[in-house]
Amino acid sequence: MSRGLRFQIILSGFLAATVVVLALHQSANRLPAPDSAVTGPGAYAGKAGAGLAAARATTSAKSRTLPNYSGIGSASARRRSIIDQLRAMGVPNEVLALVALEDFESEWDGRFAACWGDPASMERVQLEKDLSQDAAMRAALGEKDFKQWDTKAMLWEAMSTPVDVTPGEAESIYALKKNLQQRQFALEQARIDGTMDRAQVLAAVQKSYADYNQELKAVLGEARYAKSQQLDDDFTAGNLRYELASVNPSDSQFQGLFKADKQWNTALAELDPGSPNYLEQFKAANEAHDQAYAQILGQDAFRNLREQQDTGYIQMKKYENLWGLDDGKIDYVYDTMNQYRKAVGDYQLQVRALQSQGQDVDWSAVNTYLQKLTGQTQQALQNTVGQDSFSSLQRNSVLRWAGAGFRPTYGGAPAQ
Amino acid sequence: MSNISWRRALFVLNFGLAATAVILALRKPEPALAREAGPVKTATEKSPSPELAALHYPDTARVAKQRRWLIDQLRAMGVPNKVLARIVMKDLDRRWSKRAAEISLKTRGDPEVLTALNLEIEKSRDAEMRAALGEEGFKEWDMANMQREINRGQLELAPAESATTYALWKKLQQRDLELKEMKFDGKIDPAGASDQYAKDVAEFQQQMKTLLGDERYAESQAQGPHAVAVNLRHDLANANPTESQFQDLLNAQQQYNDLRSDLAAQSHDDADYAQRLQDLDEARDEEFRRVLGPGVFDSLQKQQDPGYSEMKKYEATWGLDDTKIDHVYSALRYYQKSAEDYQAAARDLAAKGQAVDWDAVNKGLQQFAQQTQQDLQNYLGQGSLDQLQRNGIVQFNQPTGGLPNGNDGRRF
Repeated sequence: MSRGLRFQIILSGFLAATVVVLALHQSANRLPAPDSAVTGPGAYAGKAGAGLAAARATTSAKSRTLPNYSGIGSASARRRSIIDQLRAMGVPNEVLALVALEDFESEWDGRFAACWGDPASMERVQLEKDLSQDAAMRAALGEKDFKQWDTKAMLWEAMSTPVDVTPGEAESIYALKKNLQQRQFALEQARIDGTMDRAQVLAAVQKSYADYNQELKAVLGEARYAKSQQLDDDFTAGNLRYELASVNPSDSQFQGLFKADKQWNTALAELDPGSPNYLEQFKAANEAHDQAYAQILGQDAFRNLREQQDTGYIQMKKYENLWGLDDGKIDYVYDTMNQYRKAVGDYQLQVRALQSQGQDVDWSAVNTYLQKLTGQTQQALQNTVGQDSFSSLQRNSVLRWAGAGFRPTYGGAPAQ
Repeated sequence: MSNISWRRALFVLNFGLAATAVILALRKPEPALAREAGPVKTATEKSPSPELAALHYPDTARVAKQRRWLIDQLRAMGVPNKVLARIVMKDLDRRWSKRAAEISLKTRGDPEVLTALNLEIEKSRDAEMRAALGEEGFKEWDMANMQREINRGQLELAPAESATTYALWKKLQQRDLELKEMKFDGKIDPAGASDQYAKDVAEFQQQMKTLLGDERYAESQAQGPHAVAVNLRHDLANANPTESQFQDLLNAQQQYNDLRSDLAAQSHDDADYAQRLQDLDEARDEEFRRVLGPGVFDSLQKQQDPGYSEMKKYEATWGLDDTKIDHVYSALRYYQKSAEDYQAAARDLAAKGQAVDWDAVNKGLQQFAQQTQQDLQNYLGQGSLDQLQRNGIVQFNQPTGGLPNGNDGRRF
């Protein structure tokens, strides 16, 4: 064998060995395959029914290089681990926050269950959870992503209708909302600790909200504040247009009705509920409003509108056949109940007038009168629509009657 | 073969091997299913491993597919099914709420439209959860829901019992949905739907009793001996009874529960019903008082009274002390008991066919309430009484003769 041939053979051996080594190296470096039954995006539909146990076994075998949820002792580290892994897969921050929040919530299930339904224990645990939520979310998402998620949530809460804000304004609103949140937590803590009672807490909460609204108004200015709180004319007009859809008013009629509504709302806002004449003034404002509507729309359209806005009327139309009613009977019930309500309202006014003049009210006589009025109305309805239809209306709470009776109660329920 | 032929053959072989070696050396490793897993994104600095970058979030997929993808990844990380189910539920709720808010804004809160939307949501819930969790994950979650809802006593069920119970429970759920839909369509009225559902529930309970037997059924409802004992021990923790006292109290409680069940099965229209309930309560209280002794029993009753607990909690804020709290507690208990007895006596007379002057009854109650209020005011002072009233501990309602609620109050 010549030297050249011997060299070629040695070279062949060397090259063959190199190819084998490289091939083995490639094979070792090949990444663990994502479990197509569980994680492969192409597998959603086809493998949806794959067994959960099998999926778990396959998954744990193939993804053993990843940290496993159950293998991490601390809840916070566990959460951070899954969030980091999901983030690396390009999962949006909003979804990461959803995962972190639900994982955090589930961590508290045991604490709540251990309360045995005892309200005092449950409200303590609830407050503890509320107070620790931000820190837990911050730890899971990291400062920047936490702030982004929390700011979005706070702005959403702050504005019923979103309005454009500058980054500086967004920051200010966020700070206001966080202050309000902290104040509410502090008040809840005071209530639970017994340093403030429910009535004091309620008053303090109302004041916090009033302060917050003033500050929000200062940040946004009147116009954007009104829009964000759905107090602007556009929103009110939109509401009205929807309510009036069944009578289809012309533009000029709509403008007149819109004006009547504004006047009515102003009149109501000026009333003092503590005033002796409050109910009388309230009634007068409502009557003026109704008159304006009737004048603008005409009596028939106005009546039609009121019918469409009356839940009892709507119920009667819906179950007309089941309840053995027809249009005539429905109109009769509707008119009778309106007269009844008006009579009760007028009587109530008289009673309140007596009270405001410092006169003693004979409540027994009041109850007797109301019982008599109710009895007469019920009898009239029964005679006209028949016993079966009347029973159906009663059973379905379409007919509601003035309450009577007097009985002080004792209990620990909070004043609402 | 000649040397020349060997040389040529080896030259070709070596050339091929050299080329293969170069190709292998230059080739980068790639994931086995990179093609199926979609485009590989370069790992960012936050990326803990290149494996994860290969599993990229399907940004452009439909929402249900994104949700399923997310759940699959989380499951692969070992997140328990109950947490996965919470995530899916929350995501669904979030999207439904957003949709409801948009529709509500568009229709100005039209109740008919919102009811239709709620129905649609209820009808789609199981399918959405199943799509996200997979059949087994869904079943595991839904079985836990069933256990929570209808097996409060955590009775151990055999696999066959569990399967039958689940089927019955799903049937009842389906029936509830059907009735809601019929009500919405005007095919049954609200009272009719409510009556029908009550019948369906009664039928379900009967089927469960047949399946489990009366005793185990009671256990599943947390009304069996074990559950009663556990609850009673919890309720009596502050009284710390001896074991023999506890057994006596447990017997009394079980007898009371049995009698209450018998009474509940009878007609509630019976004028005597409220009185018999009250009699049962009193008999049980008397037995508890006898076993524990009056001091311990009264103390236990106070601790279980929300009004008493509130007064103790805020005693400094409301200017109270132990004596005043005991006075208020006793005065109000006396008032409540006397008022109930008075009303019960009037009802009893009416039930026997005797004429009752209800105006006089109401007037009597009114005077008694005013007298109680006056006594409390004299004893506590106006300030403390105001505090108790403002916080709902003492409520003396005024007769309102108020407007009926028939009108929905909606003004133009």
